[in-house]
Amino acid sequence: MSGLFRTLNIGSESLSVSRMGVDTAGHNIANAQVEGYSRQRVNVKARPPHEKGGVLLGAGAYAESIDRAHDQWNEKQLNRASQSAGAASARLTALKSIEGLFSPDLQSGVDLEMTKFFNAAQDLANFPDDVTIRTSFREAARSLAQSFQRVENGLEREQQDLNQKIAFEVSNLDDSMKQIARLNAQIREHEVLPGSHANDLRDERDGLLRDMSRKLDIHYYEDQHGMVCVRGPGDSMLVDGVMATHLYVQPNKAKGGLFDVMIEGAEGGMDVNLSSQVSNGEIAAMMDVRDKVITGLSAKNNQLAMSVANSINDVHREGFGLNSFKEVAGRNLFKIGGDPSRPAASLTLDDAIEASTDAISFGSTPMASGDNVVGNRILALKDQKILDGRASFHQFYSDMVGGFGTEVVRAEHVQEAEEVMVKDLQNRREAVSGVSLDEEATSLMRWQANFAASSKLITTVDEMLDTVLAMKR
Amino acid sequence: MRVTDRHRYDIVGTRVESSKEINAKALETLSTLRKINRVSDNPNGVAGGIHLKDRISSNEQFQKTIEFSKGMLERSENALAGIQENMMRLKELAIGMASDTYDHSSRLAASEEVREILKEVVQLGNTTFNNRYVFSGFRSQTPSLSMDGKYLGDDGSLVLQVGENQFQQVNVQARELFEANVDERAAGHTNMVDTIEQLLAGLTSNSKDGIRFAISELDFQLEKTANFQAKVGSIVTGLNGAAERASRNVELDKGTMSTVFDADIFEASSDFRRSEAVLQSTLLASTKLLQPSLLNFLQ
Repeated sequence: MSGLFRTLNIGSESLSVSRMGVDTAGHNIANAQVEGYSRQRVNVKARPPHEKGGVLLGAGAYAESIDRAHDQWNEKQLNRASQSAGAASARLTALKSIEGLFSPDLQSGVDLEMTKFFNAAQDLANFPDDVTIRTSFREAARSLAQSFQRVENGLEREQQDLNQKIAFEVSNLDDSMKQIARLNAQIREHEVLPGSHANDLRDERDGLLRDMSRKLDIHYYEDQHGMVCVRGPGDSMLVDGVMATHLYVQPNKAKGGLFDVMIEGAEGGMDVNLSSQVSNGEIAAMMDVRDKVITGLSAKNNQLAMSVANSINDVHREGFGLNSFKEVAGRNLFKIGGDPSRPAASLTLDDAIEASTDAISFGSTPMASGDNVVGNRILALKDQKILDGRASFHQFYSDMVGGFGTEVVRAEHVQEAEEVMVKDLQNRREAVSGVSLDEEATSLMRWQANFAASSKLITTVDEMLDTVLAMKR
Repeated sequence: MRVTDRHRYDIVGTRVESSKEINAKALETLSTLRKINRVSDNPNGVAGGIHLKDRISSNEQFQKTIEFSKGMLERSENALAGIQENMMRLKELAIGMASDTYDHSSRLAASEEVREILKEVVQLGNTTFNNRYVFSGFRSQTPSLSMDGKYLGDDGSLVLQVGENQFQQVNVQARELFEANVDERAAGHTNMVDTIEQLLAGLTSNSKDGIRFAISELDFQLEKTANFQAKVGSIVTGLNGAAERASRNVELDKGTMSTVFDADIFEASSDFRRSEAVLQSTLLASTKLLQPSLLNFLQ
């Protein structure tokens, strides 16, 4: 009898394994479209055989574990590539956003306003005593000043937007770190029993690590309890088992209130500024665009604005105006004030010019309404290589725009290359871990057949038991 | 390699996205008929375009300036021609009145005509263009001559920009025309109006010598006026050259601009059609790729 019960047990266990197989296939099908999900398989093992009468008799099979198809090496490669791809993508997005400030379609760009200003100056040189033309000239000068302001304000807006985005991403990272610490705890708890693999929790944690890798240059390793330790820029400890440190942003006064990335000091120590050590990922790229690209463009815009304003003012001061200004020289055309580090942002017209067009000084001699000598000297500035002794105003601007455009193109190429690499690694990961519905369908059929055969085994044993019991009558 | 379902959907997504991107770009080119719509489309082209746009606009402005200058010079030329004509008439009158054929009453009658001519010469000297006195130098709002022949303008030479780094004087310094300079005075010459006054004096005082003296002075004034006419002519010739250069520059630069920025309509339209065909075939292929899996055949 005990032999038959043993066989019955083999059938029952086989039924259980088959059901587990169907469950796992169902779980795989349900998660087929979930990003980062790793397909799972029932790891079925044959039970050790029993010896009976010198013969080794098989003892059926059991489910040792449910494993996930996962290539740790590929995952690490993917995360490393994601850092560079994240940086390239964030850089391109940020640069594309700035690109609009220098669009060739703009009808009020600095280049066109400079052209309009010098054209208006030519008109005024033709008719220095014409009130309407003097008004047009003042309007052109005002528009020129405003075009520098627009670029400066636009750059500042982009810088602030990036700053806020950095704060947002740092806050996301902080959340991810906390979630990883929580998942670490859960994984350790679930995997205490041998053969118990917290596959779905591990997938979730891998997803978070992938997200973090895209944003920041991190590296990580798994300890003997299955918990990951995550280290960030400058080898700072971000997650240590079940403990996550706090990552946050803090305004830096020296940088005009732009945020630094800070990490809480270990065990009550001083908090550390990581900004200079962030070298890859979206945050590094955004900080680079915010601190170097935008600052560089702003410096050039200010240099050009100041060069235009100062060189024109220098000449204008020598001129005489009309009526009440016909005998008084020494006036500027542009007023330079406001923040000395960003003079273009507050470039306006001189108060006297704003008050009266008579103050516009194109004459080299007093009381000569048709004198345009100073006006001609202002016109001559247009083609002089005033900036660094090597570029005219337009040349400097076109160098600045062309250089920036080249940077955008380079960023596009880098982004394309990085994305191709990531795509390839994602495909490789998908090939190992992804769910194939055809495969799952086959698996379902296999386990279904197994289930049917196991049932048959049980009914057969049942019939055999009936036979044995009938022998007694 | 295992091909998973997500991978298949990813491939479809990527291919359709890429086809749509190419299609959208082709549509943008076709609808704007421009190859460059943003800096990154062609940074060098945009940088070059900044110069071209500036050059085109500047050269168009030069053309406007030249037109204005030519207008002013034309007015000056007409005035000088009028002065020349009047001087000729005065000389004719003077030659006639210097002969013995005419008596005092005839000379007095002629003096009336001379007075009228004098007024006309002063008026011609005060010719304006766009509310500015063309012979007054920088004192453009001050009449050039007073009725007694005094020059009221200054020696300002009106210089205008007519080309890149090219400035040209577009007026004549008329003091030399209306007033006798120191050397001329030393040689016994007088101002233009004074010459006419001399003739007038000769006629009213019935002095044939006075009239003959005026004749030689009139010759001197005629010569000076002719010289000024020649000066104006040479300025106009210079301006015509500058106008031609500006017009040629505009034409050339617009051509270059068009080559850099404008799309070839046939190429743009054929690119768009091709991208549309690619998109359609990608969508068609995608439906095949996303055919049902084995699961659909399980009963």
